[in-house]
Amino acid sequence: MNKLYSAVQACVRLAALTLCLVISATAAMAGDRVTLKDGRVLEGELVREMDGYVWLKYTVAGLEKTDFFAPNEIEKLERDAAAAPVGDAPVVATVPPVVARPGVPKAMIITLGDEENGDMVGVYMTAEQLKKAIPYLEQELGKDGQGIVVFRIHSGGGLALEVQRLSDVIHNEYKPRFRTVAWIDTAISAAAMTAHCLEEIYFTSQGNYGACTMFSGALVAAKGRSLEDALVLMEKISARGGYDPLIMRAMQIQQPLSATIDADGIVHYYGDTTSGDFIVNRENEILTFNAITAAKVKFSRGTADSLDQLTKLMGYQEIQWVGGETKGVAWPVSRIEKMQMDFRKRVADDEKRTGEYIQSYNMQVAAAAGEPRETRAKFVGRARNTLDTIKSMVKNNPNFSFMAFGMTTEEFEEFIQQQEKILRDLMR
Amino acid sequence: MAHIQSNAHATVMKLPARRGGMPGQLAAGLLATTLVLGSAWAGVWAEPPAASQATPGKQDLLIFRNGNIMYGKIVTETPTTVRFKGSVSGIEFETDYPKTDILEIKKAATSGDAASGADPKGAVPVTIEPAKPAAAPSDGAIGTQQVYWLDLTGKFGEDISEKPIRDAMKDAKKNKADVIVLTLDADWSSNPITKEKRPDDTAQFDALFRAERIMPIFVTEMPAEWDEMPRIVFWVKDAMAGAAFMPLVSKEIYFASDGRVGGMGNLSQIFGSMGDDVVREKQRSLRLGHAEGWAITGGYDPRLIRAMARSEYVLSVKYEGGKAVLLERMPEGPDEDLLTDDGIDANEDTDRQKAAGDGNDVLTLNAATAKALGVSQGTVDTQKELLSALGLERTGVLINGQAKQIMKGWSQGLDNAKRQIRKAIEEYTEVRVEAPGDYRARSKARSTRIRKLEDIKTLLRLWGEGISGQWLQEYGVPDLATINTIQESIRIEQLKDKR
Repeated sequence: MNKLYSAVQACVRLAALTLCLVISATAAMAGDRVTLKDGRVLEGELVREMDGYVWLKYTVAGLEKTDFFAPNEIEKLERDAAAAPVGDAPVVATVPPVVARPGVPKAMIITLGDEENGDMVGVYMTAEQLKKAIPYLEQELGKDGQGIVVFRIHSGGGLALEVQRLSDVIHNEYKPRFRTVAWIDTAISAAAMTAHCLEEIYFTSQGNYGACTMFSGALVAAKGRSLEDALVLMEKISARGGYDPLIMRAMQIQQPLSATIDADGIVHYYGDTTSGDFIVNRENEILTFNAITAAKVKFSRGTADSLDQLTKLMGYQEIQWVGGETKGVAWPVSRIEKMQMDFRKRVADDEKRTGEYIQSYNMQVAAAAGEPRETRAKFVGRARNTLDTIKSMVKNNPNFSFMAFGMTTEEFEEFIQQQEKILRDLMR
Repeated sequence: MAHIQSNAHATVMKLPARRGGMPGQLAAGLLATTLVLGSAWAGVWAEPPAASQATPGKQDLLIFRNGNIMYGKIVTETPTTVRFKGSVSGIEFETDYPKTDILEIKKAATSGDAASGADPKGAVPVTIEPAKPAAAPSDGAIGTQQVYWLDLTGKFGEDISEKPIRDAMKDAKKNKADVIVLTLDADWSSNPITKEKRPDDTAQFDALFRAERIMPIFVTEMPAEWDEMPRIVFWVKDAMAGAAFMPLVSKEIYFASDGRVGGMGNLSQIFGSMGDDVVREKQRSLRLGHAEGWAITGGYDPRLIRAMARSEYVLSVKYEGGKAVLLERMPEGPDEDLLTDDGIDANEDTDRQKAAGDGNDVLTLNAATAKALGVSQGTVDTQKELLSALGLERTGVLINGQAKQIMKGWSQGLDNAKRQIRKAIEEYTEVRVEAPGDYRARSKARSTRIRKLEDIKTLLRLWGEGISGQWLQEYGVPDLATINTIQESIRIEQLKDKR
């Protein structure tokens, strides 16, 4: 929640803006079809062609994107091919499912946050997005509980409101279905609180985990009831993960912490710096684990920098990692992981351009209102297009209704209806 | 017209702050000047891809792997790069592109080519040959080690940035490097003319987050892309603030005699008295967690990072069997040395100590302390000494790669891009509606402004990672989203204009 401050600021500012919004039917993609040599068949609209190179605009899991393909990647190009129903399934790859090898578990890496696009909990890491992935995970990993989901977490925190939702999805939906583990690159604040319901946590060498103090505004700490709510919430989530609640408490408030490891290897925690054999968190400090300190108190099950190392730490000789090789990515990228990556990419673009959308819309509506009725249509048309973009942004990530407009989902829908009426009235 | 201007202006002032921060006031200024034009212009909505702004005609064509295309002239070509001169909406640029980013090069046909029936657009395909590794020494390649040398100089985060370093690592891979030596001499001066080095106690801990865009190249990207990781060696000359974190990802660090690693000692003071202490502690804690993680990656004790960052942290050292043993307390015997005290009251460094660089509120590693603490493998002052220290005096063969050209090309390109951005802004603000000021003239002026803004966008996309927020603010350069908004306002004005 170190990013809570900026989120709240954005909300307050943006909510102050006058907005008008519009609905228009999502433009259906034209029925061009590109069959790629890797087996994928993509349908959409050819927006550009040159010397055998094509730029195809198509929809992936409801999100519109444009990709570029070289001639040597293309098997067949069909213009205006009859569009097949797409449904909600992601049009990513028609790679045949990985056939399980006897005795070798199947596993998948799902990244939660990345450096390039974004890492904010509640914005780039949402419960809804994780929930959507479950049916596809079951297809790939099976329903026998033998599949493994590894959440590779890279996040500097985010919205407190998403912690409970994410924890619920992971604890109630993922853990009963899959062996679910966290592999920590960086999990700060809300990201650490999210991972805390998992019993099995591994670190990378550079991994860090903690600093969960809730605040708002200019570094103003949550106090009173809101602080107690957060502490109680995390006591419950600590129980889900099987962790001593003092650990998370030391990450939330200036709770000193020491520990002793007994002869059986069991770690005992004490809420001061003197009772235990060694200090875990100093007086007046907030706890953030690194790979060494996390391993020392057995909070981490081990430190792994590669899939091989992780496989061994998890107690296997071999794991069948689902997904294909992707340049610059150290693990196989599955279609579910690709969904996460595409989601973050889209959200990043929308986040950067939220102000632009709102500004443009305001200008377009103001321009329409300043025109005589007979020349108004072109301005209203532009405003409708921008409103569609705003709607699409919130559809892709419902948390934008709060982040960008300071509204609940219901309030946002109502607001959209008002804006549509304004645009209709402008055309009367 | 008037009320639209004021509305639009007011709204720009409300734009939320964004990453990389655009000065709302300056953006508003740009928008305000835009609206002075006031009248309509048609035909500029569709923002064509950058390439289509150039005339294909008889120009060379680059097709990039990311789908971008660019027309212009190939100035020079090496096995690994193409130096390309092009123009974006009238603004000329010349820059190097690594061939790894290029899918296809189509050279403009000469008249002879045309006569022989080449592509009517004048472009003929050129096959890109993969770069050939440097030739092995004539005395035989067996037992030799290919050494790739990369000098990192200039401003950290600007000259020393992820794109050129990534390109250099790709070049090293192509050249089959066994060892990569990175000399690190980051400019830590306050005066760009005298280049006088800032003292040890000047610090900028948060430059860590800039460094975190570079370090994954060595920690995650290269292990994923190289079949066998080369030895990564850092030779430190000056590595302060953000640059200080970079060598930590390597297990082999050497220092020059006057080398230093530090400039992160302001963590305890970084937020002053803002807000509540518990939140300030959270902020310090998470930052320290990040920084410690990078040290652990390279195999260094994270307590050294804490000593380099937090002034109240006490750390001593004693040596057992030549190895440093760190102690989180004041020395208790003659065999123990104090590294950092708590910096409180009488322990606070005096001005003289700070000026002389021998204070102990926070730790700055110099050649001697780094060696004693096991951070530095040794102190060397010449390339020959380093190769000798690495055991490569006889077997090391310096690769004739593109490192120098890549780094130089990036720095020059960056300077050029900054000049072009400033020029484009100046030209943008100078666009006037020419006499007779009719619809056609107004439209032309708007068109010019949109093009100038498009130029700025292109330059920011290409070079943005090396341009600091401070520079952007100083020259009033809006971010991409704000430029889009300004362009839309111009288009609306154009639509509203009447013949």
